[in-house]
Amino acid sequence: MIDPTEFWLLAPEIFLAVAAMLLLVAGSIGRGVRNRPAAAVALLSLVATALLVLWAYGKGGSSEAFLAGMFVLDSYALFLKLLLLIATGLTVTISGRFLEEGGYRPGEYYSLILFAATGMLFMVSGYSLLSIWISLELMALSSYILAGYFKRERKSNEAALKYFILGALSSGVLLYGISLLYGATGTVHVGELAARLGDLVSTGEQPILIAVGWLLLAIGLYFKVAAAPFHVWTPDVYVGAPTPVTAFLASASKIASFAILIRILFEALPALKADWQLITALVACISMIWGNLAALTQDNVKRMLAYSSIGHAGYILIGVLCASEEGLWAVLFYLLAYAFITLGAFGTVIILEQREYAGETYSDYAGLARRSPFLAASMLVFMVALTGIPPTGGFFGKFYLFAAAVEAGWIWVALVGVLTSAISLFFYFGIVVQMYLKPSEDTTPRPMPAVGLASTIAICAIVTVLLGLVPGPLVELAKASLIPLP
Amino acid sequence: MTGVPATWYLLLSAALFCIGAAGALTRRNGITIFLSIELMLNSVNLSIVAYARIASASGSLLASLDGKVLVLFVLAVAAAEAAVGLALFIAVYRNRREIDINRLNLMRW
Repeated sequence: MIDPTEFWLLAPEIFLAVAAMLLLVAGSIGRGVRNRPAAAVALLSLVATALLVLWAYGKGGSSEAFLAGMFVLDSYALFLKLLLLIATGLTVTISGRFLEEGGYRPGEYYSLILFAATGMLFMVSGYSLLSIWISLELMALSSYILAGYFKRERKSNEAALKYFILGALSSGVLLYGISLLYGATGTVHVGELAARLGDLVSTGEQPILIAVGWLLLAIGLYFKVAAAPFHVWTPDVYVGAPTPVTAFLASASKIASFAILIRILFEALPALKADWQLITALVACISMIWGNLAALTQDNVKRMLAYSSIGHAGYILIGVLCASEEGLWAVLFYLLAYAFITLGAFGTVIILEQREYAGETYSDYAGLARRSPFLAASMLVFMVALTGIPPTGGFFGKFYLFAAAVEAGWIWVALVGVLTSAISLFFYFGIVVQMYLKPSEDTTPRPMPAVGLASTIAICAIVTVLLGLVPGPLVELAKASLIPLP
Repeated sequence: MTGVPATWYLLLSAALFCIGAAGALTRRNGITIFLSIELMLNSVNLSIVAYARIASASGSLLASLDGKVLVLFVLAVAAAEAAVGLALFIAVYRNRREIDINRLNLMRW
Protein backbone atom coordinates (compact mmCIF):
# COMPACT_ATOMS: atom_id res chain seq x y z
CA MET A 1 0.00 0.00 0.00
CA ILE A 2 2.89 2.36 0.77
CA ASP A 3 5.30 3.18 -2.00
CA PRO A 4 8.80 2.94 -0.41
CA THR A 5 10.16 5.67 -2.68
CA GLU A 6 7.93 8.10 -0.77
CA PHE A 7 10.40 7.94 2.09
CA TRP A 8 12.72 10.12 -0.04
CA LEU A 9 10.37 13.00 0.62
CA LEU A 10 11.26 12.71 4.30
CA ALA A 11 15.00 12.73 3.57
CA PRO A 12 15.56 16.10 5.32
CA GLU A 13 13.95 14.99 8.56
CA ILE A 14 15.71 11.62 8.52
CA PHE A 15 19.05 13.28 7.84
CA LEU A 16 18.59 15.78 10.65
CA ALA A 17 17.58 13.07 13.12
CA VAL A 18 20.67 11.02 12.23
CA ALA A 19 22.90 14.10 12.57
CA ALA A 20 21.38 14.79 16.00
CA MET A 21 22.02 11.21 17.13
CA LEU A 22 25.63 11.26 15.92
CA LEU A 23 26.22 14.55 17.71
CA LEU A 24 24.71 13.07 20.87
CA VAL A 25 27.01 10.06 20.72
CA ALA A 26 30.08 12.18 19.92
CA GLY A 27 29.20 14.50 22.79
CA SER A 28 28.97 11.65 25.29
CA ILE A 29 32.18 9.76 24.50
CA GLY A 30 35.06 10.61 26.80
CA ARG A 31 35.38 14.35 27.31
CA GLY A 32 32.91 15.05 24.55
CA VAL A 33 33.20 17.64 21.81
CA ARG A 34 34.07 21.26 22.31
CA ASN A 35 31.72 24.11 21.64
CA ARG A 36 33.03 25.37 18.31
CA PRO A 37 33.22 22.05 16.47
CA ALA A 38 29.82 21.03 17.84
CA ALA A 39 28.25 24.30 16.73
CA ALA A 40 29.89 23.98 13.31
CA VAL A 41 28.54 20.44 12.87
CA ALA A 42 25.07 21.57 13.94
CA LEU A 43 25.12 24.51 11.52
CA LEU A 44 26.38 22.38 8.63
CA SER A 45 23.66 19.78 9.27
CA LEU A 46 21.04 22.52 9.24
CA VAL A 47 22.35 23.87 5.93
CA ALA A 48 22.43 20.38 4.43
CA THR A 49 18.89 19.79 5.68
CA ALA A 50 17.74 23.00 4.05
CA LEU A 51 19.22 21.84 0.74
CA LEU A 52 17.54 18.47 1.18
CA VAL A 53 14.22 20.20 1.85
CA LEU A 54 14.54 22.04 -1.46
CA TRP A 55 15.55 18.82 -3.22
CA ALA A 56 12.66 16.83 -1.75
CA TYR A 57 10.21 19.56 -2.67
CA GLY A 58 11.50 19.58 -6.23
CA LYS A 59 11.19 15.82 -6.35
CA GLY A 60 7.65 15.42 -5.14
CA GLY A 61 6.24 18.54 -3.61
CA SER A 62 2.45 18.63 -3.93
CA SER A 63 -0.60 19.01 -1.77
CA GLU A 64 -1.19 15.24 -1.93
CA ALA A 65 -0.57 13.41 1.34
CA PHE A 66 1.94 10.56 1.20
CA LEU A 67 3.01 7.59 3.37
CA ALA A 68 -0.57 6.45 3.95
CA GLY A 69 -1.70 10.02 4.44
CA MET A 70 0.66 10.72 7.31
CA PHE A 71 2.58 13.63 5.79
CA VAL A 72 2.26 16.27 3.13
CA LEU A 73 4.91 18.37 1.43
CA ASP A 74 3.17 21.42 0.05
CA SER A 75 4.47 24.96 -0.48
CA TYR A 76 3.19 25.93 2.98
CA ALA A 77 5.36 23.22 4.54
CA LEU A 78 8.30 24.28 2.37
CA PHE A 79 8.11 27.92 3.46
CA LEU A 80 7.83 27.03 7.14
CA LYS A 81 10.54 24.36 7.03
CA LEU A 82 13.07 26.78 5.58
CA LEU A 83 12.03 29.45 8.07
CA LEU A 84 12.38 26.98 10.97
CA LEU A 85 15.83 25.93 9.79
CA ILE A 86 16.94 29.56 9.60
CA ALA A 87 15.61 30.25 13.10
CA THR A 88 17.33 27.14 14.45
CA GLY A 89 20.59 28.10 12.75
CA LEU A 90 20.49 31.58 14.30
CA THR A 91 19.79 29.97 17.69
CA VAL A 92 22.92 27.85 17.28
CA THR A 93 25.05 30.92 16.55
CA ILE A 94 23.92 32.75 19.69
CA SER A 95 24.35 29.75 22.01
CA GLY A 96 28.14 29.45 22.19
CA ARG A 97 28.95 31.96 24.89
CA PHE A 98 26.58 30.43 27.43
CA LEU A 99 27.90 26.93 27.04
CA GLU A 100 31.51 28.04 27.34
CA GLU A 101 30.97 30.17 30.43
CA GLY A 102 28.63 27.80 32.20
CA GLY A 103 30.86 24.78 31.64
CA TYR A 104 28.00 22.67 30.28
CA ARG A 105 28.49 20.01 27.65
CA PRO A 106 27.87 21.45 24.19
CA GLY A 107 27.40 18.19 22.26
CA GLU A 108 24.18 17.27 24.02
CA TYR A 109 22.89 20.83 23.85
CA TYR A 110 23.22 21.07 20.09
CA SER A 111 21.87 17.58 19.57
CA LEU A 112 18.75 18.49 21.57
CA ILE A 113 18.34 21.62 19.44
CA LEU A 114 18.57 19.45 16.32
CA PHE A 115 16.07 16.93 17.74
CA ALA A 116 13.64 19.75 18.47
CA ALA A 117 14.17 21.04 14.93
CA THR A 118 13.47 17.55 13.55
CA GLY A 119 10.19 17.51 15.46
CA MET A 120 9.30 20.93 14.05
CA LEU A 121 10.01 19.88 10.47
CA PHE A 122 7.75 16.86 10.94
CA MET A 123 5.09 19.05 12.54
CA VAL A 124 4.69 21.39 9.59
CA SER A 125 4.49 18.38 7.27
CA GLY A 126 2.11 16.36 9.45
CA TYR A 127 -1.20 15.53 7.83
CA SER A 128 -2.61 13.15 10.41
CA LEU A 129 -3.44 14.09 13.99
CA LEU A 130 -1.24 11.14 14.98
CA SER A 131 1.89 12.33 13.16
CA ILE A 132 1.28 15.93 14.21
CA TRP A 133 0.94 14.97 17.87
CA ILE A 134 4.03 12.78 17.94
CA SER A 135 6.23 15.37 16.27
CA LEU A 136 4.83 17.98 18.64
CA GLU A 137 5.92 15.76 21.54
CA LEU A 138 9.39 15.35 20.03
CA MET A 139 9.75 19.11 19.97
CA ALA A 140 8.23 19.53 23.44
CA LEU A 141 10.30 16.84 25.18
CA SER A 142 13.52 18.29 23.73
CA SER A 143 12.44 21.78 24.82
CA TYR A 144 11.75 20.66 28.41
CA ILE A 145 15.30 19.39 28.71
CA LEU A 146 16.74 22.47 27.01
CA ALA A 147 14.87 24.77 29.41
CA GLY A 148 16.56 22.96 32.29
CA TYR A 149 19.94 22.70 30.64
CA PHE A 150 21.68 24.73 33.35
CA LYS A 151 21.11 21.94 35.80
CA ARG A 152 23.05 23.58 38.63
CA GLU A 153 20.97 26.77 38.45
CA ARG A 154 17.79 26.69 40.51
CA LYS A 155 15.95 29.04 38.16
CA SER A 156 16.64 26.83 35.20
CA ASN A 157 15.42 23.75 37.15
CA GLU A 158 12.29 25.57 38.10
CA ALA A 159 11.62 26.69 34.54
CA ALA A 160 12.05 23.17 33.19
CA LEU A 161 9.76 21.63 35.81
CA LYS A 162 7.02 24.20 35.29
CA TYR A 163 7.31 23.84 31.54
CA PHE A 164 7.19 20.06 31.81
CA ILE A 165 4.17 19.88 34.11
CA LEU A 166 2.09 22.39 32.19
CA GLY A 167 3.27 21.05 28.84
CA ALA A 168 2.36 17.48 29.73
CA LEU A 169 -1.00 18.65 31.05
CA SER A 170 -1.73 20.48 27.82
CA SER A 171 -0.70 17.56 25.68
CA GLY A 172 -3.08 15.36 27.70
CA VAL A 173 -5.89 17.82 26.99
CA LEU A 174 -4.96 17.97 23.30
CA LEU A 175 -4.87 14.20 23.10
CA TYR A 176 -8.26 13.83 24.74
CA GLY A 177 -9.60 16.21 22.10
CA ILE A 178 -8.05 14.04 19.39
CA SER A 179 -9.62 10.91 20.90
CA LEU A 180 -13.09 12.49 20.95
CA LEU A 181 -12.79 13.64 17.34
CA TYR A 182 -11.59 10.16 16.44
CA GLY A 183 -14.61 8.74 18.24
CA ALA A 184 -16.97 11.00 16.33
CA THR A 185 -15.46 10.45 12.88
CA GLY A 186 -13.47 7.22 13.04
CA THR A 187 -10.34 8.75 11.52
CA VAL A 188 -7.33 10.86 12.45
CA HIS A 189 -6.39 11.73 8.87
CA VAL A 190 -6.78 15.47 8.41
CA GLY A 191 -8.47 15.35 5.00
CA GLU A 192 -10.92 12.56 5.86
CA LEU A 193 -11.63 14.13 9.23
CA ALA A 194 -12.68 17.34 7.50
CA ALA A 195 -14.99 15.50 5.11
CA ARG A 196 -16.67 13.41 7.82
CA LEU A 197 -16.99 16.34 10.19
CA GLY A 198 -18.69 18.23 7.35
CA ASP A 199 -21.25 15.42 7.01
CA LEU A 200 -21.81 15.14 10.75
CA VAL A 201 -22.21 18.88 11.22
CA SER A 202 -24.66 19.20 8.34
CA THR A 203 -26.83 16.37 9.70
CA GLY A 204 -26.41 17.56 13.28
CA GLU A 205 -25.11 14.24 14.64
CA GLN A 206 -22.83 13.89 17.68
CA PRO A 207 -22.89 17.62 18.51
CA ILE A 208 -21.49 17.29 22.05
CA LEU A 209 -18.67 14.94 21.12
CA ILE A 210 -17.54 17.22 18.29
CA ALA A 211 -17.87 20.43 20.29
CA VAL A 212 -15.91 19.15 23.31
CA GLY A 213 -13.39 17.42 21.06
CA TRP A 214 -12.40 20.38 18.93
CA LEU A 215 -12.46 22.72 21.91
CA LEU A 216 -10.00 20.56 23.87
CA LEU A 217 -7.83 20.18 20.78
CA ALA A 218 -7.81 23.93 20.23
CA ILE A 219 -7.03 24.64 23.90
CA GLY A 220 -4.00 22.37 23.67
CA LEU A 221 -2.83 24.28 20.60
CA TYR A 222 -3.43 27.73 22.12
CA PHE A 223 -1.33 26.57 25.03
CA LYS A 224 1.54 25.70 22.71
CA VAL A 225 1.50 29.09 20.97
CA ALA A 226 1.41 30.78 24.40
CA ALA A 227 -1.86 32.63 23.92
CA ALA A 228 -3.70 33.97 26.97
CA PRO A 229 -5.50 32.64 29.01
CA PHE A 230 -3.36 29.54 28.41
CA HIS A 231 -0.06 31.35 28.86
CA VAL A 232 0.74 30.79 32.55
CA TRP A 233 3.90 28.84 31.76
CA THR A 234 5.39 31.46 29.44
CA PRO A 235 6.84 34.15 31.74
CA ASP A 236 8.54 31.76 34.16
CA VAL A 237 9.92 29.49 31.45
CA TYR A 238 11.21 32.39 29.37
CA VAL A 239 12.95 33.96 32.36
CA GLY A 240 14.36 30.78 33.87
CA ALA A 241 15.55 29.02 30.74
CA PRO A 242 19.02 29.80 29.36
CA THR A 243 18.53 32.83 27.11
CA PRO A 244 19.44 31.11 23.80
CA VAL A 245 16.81 28.49 24.65
CA THR A 246 14.32 31.26 25.39
CA ALA A 247 15.07 32.72 21.97
CA PHE A 248 14.52 29.30 20.43
CA LEU A 249 11.18 28.82 22.22
CA ALA A 250 10.01 32.30 21.27
CA SER A 251 10.92 31.93 17.60
CA ALA A 252 11.17 28.42 16.18
CA SER A 253 8.88 26.69 18.66
CA LYS A 254 6.24 29.36 18.22
CA ILE A 255 6.40 29.19 14.43
CA ALA A 256 5.97 25.40 14.41
CA SER A 257 3.08 25.59 16.88
CA PHE A 258 1.31 28.21 14.77
CA ALA A 259 1.93 26.05 11.71
CA ILE A 260 0.01 23.11 13.16
CA LEU A 261 -2.66 25.35 14.67
CA ILE A 262 -3.37 26.75 11.20
CA ARG A 263 -3.13 23.35 9.52
CA ILE A 264 -5.62 21.79 11.94
CA LEU A 265 -8.08 24.68 12.02
CA PHE A 266 -8.02 25.25 8.26
CA GLU A 267 -7.75 21.73 6.90
CA ALA A 268 -9.25 19.49 9.60
CA LEU A 269 -11.97 21.69 11.08
CA PRO A 270 -13.33 23.80 8.20
CA ALA A 271 -16.83 22.59 9.07
CA LEU A 272 -16.58 24.39 12.43
CA LYS A 273 -15.17 27.61 10.98
CA ALA A 274 -17.69 29.96 12.58
CA ASP A 275 -17.10 28.43 16.03
CA TRP A 276 -13.32 28.55 15.98
CA GLN A 277 -13.26 32.02 14.49
CA LEU A 278 -15.18 33.31 17.48
CA ILE A 279 -13.08 31.48 20.07
CA THR A 280 -9.87 32.52 18.33
CA ALA A 281 -11.04 36.14 18.30
CA LEU A 282 -11.62 36.00 22.06
CA VAL A 283 -8.26 34.35 22.70
CA ALA A 284 -6.52 36.88 20.43
CA CYS A 285 -8.05 39.84 22.26
CA ILE A 286 -7.28 38.45 25.73
CA SER A 287 -3.69 37.73 24.64
CA MET A 288 -3.14 41.20 23.20
CA ILE A 289 -4.64 42.97 26.20
CA TRP A 290 -3.13 40.82 28.94
CA GLY A 291 0.27 40.40 27.29
CA ASN A 292 0.76 44.11 26.72
CA LEU A 293 -0.66 45.26 30.06
CA ALA A 294 1.42 42.78 32.05
CA ALA A 295 4.53 43.73 30.11
CA LEU A 296 4.05 47.31 31.31
CA THR A 297 4.73 46.34 34.91
CA GLN A 298 7.95 44.38 34.40
CA ASP A 299 11.45 45.50 35.26
CA ASN A 300 13.19 42.40 33.92
CA VAL A 301 13.80 42.60 30.18
CA LYS A 302 13.45 38.85 29.60
CA ARG A 303 10.15 38.81 31.44
CA MET A 304 8.96 41.83 29.47
CA LEU A 305 9.84 40.03 26.24
CA ALA A 306 7.93 36.96 27.48
CA TYR A 307 4.74 39.00 28.02
CA SER A 308 5.34 40.75 24.72
CA SER A 309 5.50 37.35 23.03
CA ILE A 310 2.07 36.55 24.50
CA GLY A 311 0.82 39.79 23.00
CA HIS A 312 2.37 38.94 19.66
CA ALA A 313 0.70 35.52 19.72
CA GLY A 314 -2.51 37.53 19.91
CA TYR A 315 -1.58 39.62 16.87
CA ILE A 316 -0.75 36.52 14.85
CA LEU A 317 -4.06 34.92 15.87
CA ILE A 318 -5.82 37.88 14.25
CA GLY A 319 -4.55 36.66 10.90
CA VAL A 320 -5.60 33.10 11.71
CA LEU A 321 -9.15 33.96 12.64
CA CYS A 322 -9.74 35.85 9.38
CA ALA A 323 -9.56 32.49 7.57
CA SER A 324 -8.86 34.45 4.37
CA GLU A 325 -5.98 34.50 1.93
CA GLU A 326 -4.87 37.92 3.14
CA GLY A 327 -4.91 36.73 6.73
CA LEU A 328 -2.89 33.62 6.00
CA TRP A 329 -0.08 35.28 4.08
CA ALA A 330 0.01 38.07 6.62
CA VAL A 331 0.56 35.41 9.29
CA LEU A 332 3.41 33.85 7.32
CA PHE A 333 4.97 37.27 6.78
CA TYR A 334 4.65 38.11 10.45
CA LEU A 335 6.07 34.78 11.60
CA LEU A 336 9.20 35.38 9.54
CA ALA A 337 9.63 39.00 10.63
CA TYR A 338 8.93 38.11 14.26
CA ALA A 339 11.49 35.29 14.22
CA PHE A 340 14.28 37.66 13.18
CA ILE A 341 13.15 40.38 15.59
CA THR A 342 12.97 38.10 18.65
CA LEU A 343 16.19 36.27 17.89
CA GLY A 344 17.94 39.61 17.54
CA ALA A 345 16.41 41.03 20.72
CA PHE A 346 17.32 37.97 22.77
CA GLY A 347 20.79 37.96 21.20
CA THR A 348 21.30 41.48 22.55
CA VAL A 349 20.04 40.36 25.97
CA ILE A 350 22.57 37.52 25.89
CA ILE A 351 25.47 39.92 25.35
CA LEU A 352 24.47 42.14 28.25
CA GLU A 353 23.78 39.24 30.59
CA GLN A 354 26.32 38.13 33.08
CA ARG A 355 26.67 34.98 35.09
CA GLU A 356 23.68 33.88 37.16
CA TYR A 357 21.02 35.93 35.48
CA ALA A 358 22.45 39.37 36.30
CA GLY A 359 22.19 42.20 33.81
CA GLU A 360 18.60 41.56 32.84
CA THR A 361 16.87 44.58 34.33
CA TYR A 362 15.96 47.79 32.52
CA SER A 363 18.51 49.79 34.49
CA ASP A 364 21.30 47.56 33.23
CA TYR A 365 20.69 49.11 29.81
CA ALA A 366 21.41 52.65 31.05
CA GLY A 367 23.91 54.52 28.93
CA LEU A 368 24.36 51.68 26.50
CA ALA A 369 24.43 54.06 23.53
CA ARG A 370 27.69 55.52 24.84
CA ARG A 371 29.24 52.25 25.81
CA SER A 372 28.34 50.24 22.72
CA PRO A 373 26.66 52.15 19.88
CA PHE A 374 26.26 48.97 17.82
CA LEU A 375 24.29 47.10 20.50
CA ALA A 376 22.16 50.10 21.34
CA ALA A 377 21.34 50.74 17.69
CA SER A 378 20.34 47.15 17.01
CA MET A 379 18.24 46.96 20.19
CA LEU A 380 16.57 50.19 19.04
CA VAL A 381 15.71 48.54 15.71
CA PHE A 382 14.19 45.51 17.46
CA MET A 383 12.15 47.58 19.90
CA VAL A 384 10.86 49.81 17.09
CA ALA A 385 9.94 46.67 15.12
CA LEU A 386 8.17 45.04 18.07
CA THR A 387 6.11 48.18 18.57
CA GLY A 388 5.24 48.15 14.89
CA ILE A 389 6.68 51.46 13.71
CA PRO A 390 8.03 51.91 10.16
CA PRO A 391 10.48 51.42 8.54
CA THR A 392 10.71 47.91 9.99
CA GLY A 393 9.29 44.49 9.21
CA GLY A 394 7.24 44.73 12.39
CA PHE A 395 5.23 47.61 10.94
CA PHE A 396 4.27 45.83 7.73
CA GLY A 397 3.57 42.60 9.64
CA LYS A 398 1.05 44.32 11.87
CA PHE A 399 -0.30 46.44 9.05
CA TYR A 400 -1.08 43.39 6.88
CA LEU A 401 -2.66 41.55 9.83
CA PHE A 402 -4.92 44.45 10.77
CA ALA A 403 -5.79 45.10 7.13
CA ALA A 404 -6.79 41.46 6.68
CA ALA A 405 -8.96 41.66 9.81
CA VAL A 406 -10.73 44.79 8.57
CA GLU A 407 -11.29 43.23 5.17
CA ALA A 408 -12.74 40.07 6.73
CA GLY A 409 -15.06 42.13 8.89
CA TRP A 410 -13.34 41.69 12.26
CA ILE A 411 -12.97 45.39 12.84
CA TRP A 412 -13.26 45.25 16.63
CA VAL A 413 -10.39 42.77 16.84
CA ALA A 414 -8.23 45.02 14.67
CA LEU A 415 -9.16 47.94 16.91
CA VAL A 416 -7.97 46.06 20.01
CA GLY A 417 -4.76 45.31 18.13
CA VAL A 418 -4.10 48.95 17.29
CA LEU A 419 -4.86 50.14 20.82
CA THR A 420 -2.64 47.53 22.49
CA SER A 421 0.16 48.38 20.04
CA ALA A 422 -0.06 51.93 21.28
CA ILE A 423 0.24 50.69 24.88
CA SER A 424 3.25 48.60 23.95
CA LEU A 425 5.11 51.75 22.96
CA PHE A 426 5.65 52.52 26.66
CA PHE A 427 7.52 49.40 27.68
CA TYR A 428 9.49 48.93 24.47
CA PHE A 429 10.64 52.53 24.57
CA GLY A 430 11.45 52.19 28.25
CA ILE A 431 14.54 50.34 27.08
CA VAL A 432 15.30 52.93 24.41
CA VAL A 433 15.07 55.72 26.98
CA GLN A 434 17.47 53.84 29.25
CA MET A 435 19.93 53.25 26.43
CA TYR A 436 19.99 56.74 24.95
CA LEU A 437 18.89 59.19 27.63
CA LYS A 438 19.92 57.78 31.02
CA PRO A 439 23.55 58.18 32.01
CA SER A 440 25.30 55.17 33.47
CA GLU A 441 27.85 55.03 36.24
CA ASP A 442 30.13 52.86 34.18
CA THR A 443 31.16 54.67 31.01
CA THR A 444 33.94 52.38 29.80
CA PRO A 445 33.23 51.15 26.26
CA ARG A 446 32.10 47.54 26.14
CA PRO A 447 34.39 45.11 24.31
CA MET A 448 32.99 43.97 20.96
CA PRO A 449 30.97 40.77 21.39
CA ALA A 450 32.08 37.49 19.85
CA VAL A 451 31.90 37.33 16.05
CA GLY A 452 29.07 34.75 15.94
CA LEU A 453 26.82 36.70 18.28
CA ALA A 454 27.57 40.08 16.73
CA SER A 455 27.00 38.90 13.19
CA THR A 456 23.73 37.19 14.16
CA ILE A 457 22.43 40.38 15.73
CA ALA A 458 23.58 42.38 12.70
CA ILE A 459 21.83 39.95 10.33
CA CYS A 460 18.60 40.11 12.35
CA ALA A 461 18.70 43.92 12.45
CA ILE A 462 19.40 44.17 8.71
CA VAL A 463 16.61 41.75 7.81
CA THR A 464 14.19 43.60 10.11
CA VAL A 465 14.94 46.91 8.41
CA LEU A 466 14.98 45.40 4.90
CA LEU A 467 11.53 43.89 5.44
CA GLY A 468 10.35 47.37 6.34
CA LEU A 469 11.85 48.94 3.22
CA VAL A 470 11.05 46.27 0.61
CA PRO A 471 8.35 43.91 1.93
CA GLY A 472 7.27 43.00 -1.62
CA PRO A 473 9.37 39.91 -2.33
CA LEU A 474 8.48 38.24 0.97
CA VAL A 475 4.81 39.02 0.45
CA GLU A 476 4.98 37.32 -2.94
CA LEU A 477 6.73 34.33 -1.36
CA ALA A 478 4.12 34.08 1.40
CA LYS A 479 1.31 34.38 -1.14
CA ALA A 480 2.74 31.36 -2.97
CA SER A 481 2.76 29.32 0.24
CA LEU A 482 -0.90 29.12 1.17
CA ILE A 483 -3.01 26.11 2.09
CA PRO A 484 -6.64 25.58 1.07
CA LEU A 485 -8.92 27.95 2.94
CA PRO A 486 -11.74 26.62 5.12
CA MET B 1 -21.50 -7.97 21.12
CA THR B 2 -21.98 -9.10 24.69
CA GLY B 3 -20.31 -7.96 27.89
CA VAL B 4 -19.79 -4.43 29.11
CA PRO B 5 -21.20 -1.83 26.69
CA ALA B 6 -18.56 0.42 25.13
CA THR B 7 -20.21 3.57 26.43
CA TRP B 8 -19.38 2.52 29.99
CA TYR B 9 -15.71 2.59 29.08
CA LEU B 10 -16.14 6.05 27.66
CA LEU B 11 -17.77 7.27 30.85
CA LEU B 12 -15.01 5.66 32.92
CA SER B 13 -12.39 7.30 30.75
CA ALA B 14 -14.07 10.71 31.08
CA ALA B 15 -14.18 10.24 34.86
CA LEU B 16 -10.51 9.23 35.00
CA PHE B 17 -9.57 12.21 32.86
CA CYS B 18 -11.38 14.59 35.19
CA ILE B 19 -9.80 13.00 38.27
CA GLY B 20 -6.39 13.31 36.63
CA ALA B 21 -6.95 16.94 35.66
CA ALA B 22 -8.21 17.82 39.13
CA GLY B 23 -5.20 16.11 40.70
CA ALA B 24 -2.75 17.85 38.40
CA LEU B 25 -4.23 21.25 39.21
CA THR B 26 -4.63 20.93 42.97
CA ARG B 27 -1.80 18.75 44.27
CA ARG B 28 1.44 20.21 45.60
CA ASN B 29 3.84 17.31 45.39
CA GLY B 30 5.56 17.12 42.01
CA ILE B 31 5.39 13.35 41.78
CA THR B 32 1.67 13.30 42.56
CA ILE B 33 1.06 15.88 39.86
CA PHE B 34 3.06 13.78 37.46
CA LEU B 35 1.01 10.68 38.37
CA SER B 36 -2.19 12.62 37.75
CA ILE B 37 -0.96 13.60 34.30
CA GLU B 38 -0.15 9.97 33.54
CA LEU B 39 -3.68 9.12 34.62
CA MET B 40 -4.99 11.63 32.08
CA LEU B 41 -2.92 10.09 29.29
CA ASN B 42 -4.10 6.61 30.18
CA SER B 43 -7.72 7.69 30.31
CA VAL B 44 -7.22 8.93 26.77
CA ASN B 45 -5.90 5.52 25.81
CA LEU B 46 -8.96 3.89 27.31
CA SER B 47 -11.28 6.14 25.37
CA ILE B 48 -9.42 5.56 22.10
CA VAL B 49 -9.56 1.79 22.57
CA ALA B 50 -13.27 1.97 23.36
CA TYR B 51 -13.90 3.99 20.21
CA ALA B 52 -11.82 1.50 18.23
CA ARG B 53 -14.05 -1.26 19.54
CA ILE B 54 -17.17 0.65 18.56
CA ALA B 55 -15.69 1.14 15.10
CA SER B 56 -14.81 -2.53 14.66
CA ALA B 57 -18.27 -3.56 15.93
CA SER B 58 -19.82 -1.44 13.22
CA GLY B 59 -17.66 -3.23 10.68
CA SER B 60 -15.16 -0.49 9.92
CA LEU B 61 -11.85 -2.32 10.31
CA LEU B 62 -9.67 0.46 8.97
CA ALA B 63 -11.13 2.99 11.40
CA SER B 64 -10.58 0.62 14.30
CA LEU B 65 -6.96 0.08 13.23
CA ASP B 66 -6.32 3.84 13.25
CA GLY B 67 -7.22 3.98 16.91
CA LYS B 68 -5.21 0.96 17.94
CA VAL B 69 -2.10 2.33 16.27
CA LEU B 70 -2.70 5.68 17.97
CA VAL B 71 -2.81 3.97 21.37
CA LEU B 72 0.53 2.25 20.82
CA PHE B 73 2.15 5.57 19.95
CA VAL B 74 0.59 7.29 22.96
CA LEU B 75 2.00 4.57 25.22
CA ALA B 76 5.49 5.06 23.78
CA VAL B 77 5.37 8.83 24.06
CA ALA B 78 4.04 8.62 27.63
CA ALA B 79 7.02 6.44 28.53
CA ALA B 80 9.43 8.96 26.99
CA GLU B 81 7.67 11.73 28.85
CA ALA B 82 8.04 9.83 32.11
CA ALA B 83 11.77 9.48 31.53
CA VAL B 84 12.22 13.21 30.90
CA GLY B 85 9.92 14.20 33.74
CA LEU B 86 11.55 12.01 36.36
CA ALA B 87 15.00 13.23 35.26
CA LEU B 88 13.84 16.81 35.79
CA PHE B 89 12.46 15.94 39.23
CA ILE B 90 15.81 14.44 40.18
CA ALA B 91 17.64 17.55 38.97
CA VAL B 92 15.36 19.74 41.09
CA TYR B 93 15.67 17.48 44.12
CA ARG B 94 19.46 17.55 43.94
CA ASN B 95 19.50 21.32 44.14
CA ARG B 96 16.86 21.91 46.77
CA ARG B 97 16.08 18.62 48.54
CA GLU B 98 12.34 18.87 47.95
CA ILE B 99 9.86 18.86 45.08
CA ASP B 100 7.03 20.85 46.59
CA ILE B 101 5.61 22.82 43.69
CA ASN B 102 4.50 25.74 45.86
CA ARG B 103 8.07 26.38 46.92
CA LEU B 104 9.21 26.69 43.31
CA ASN B 105 8.70 30.41 43.41
CA LEU B 106 11.99 32.04 42.52
CA MET B 107 10.23 33.76 39.66
CA ARG B 108 7.07 35.60 40.56
CA TRP B 109 6.04 39.21 40.26
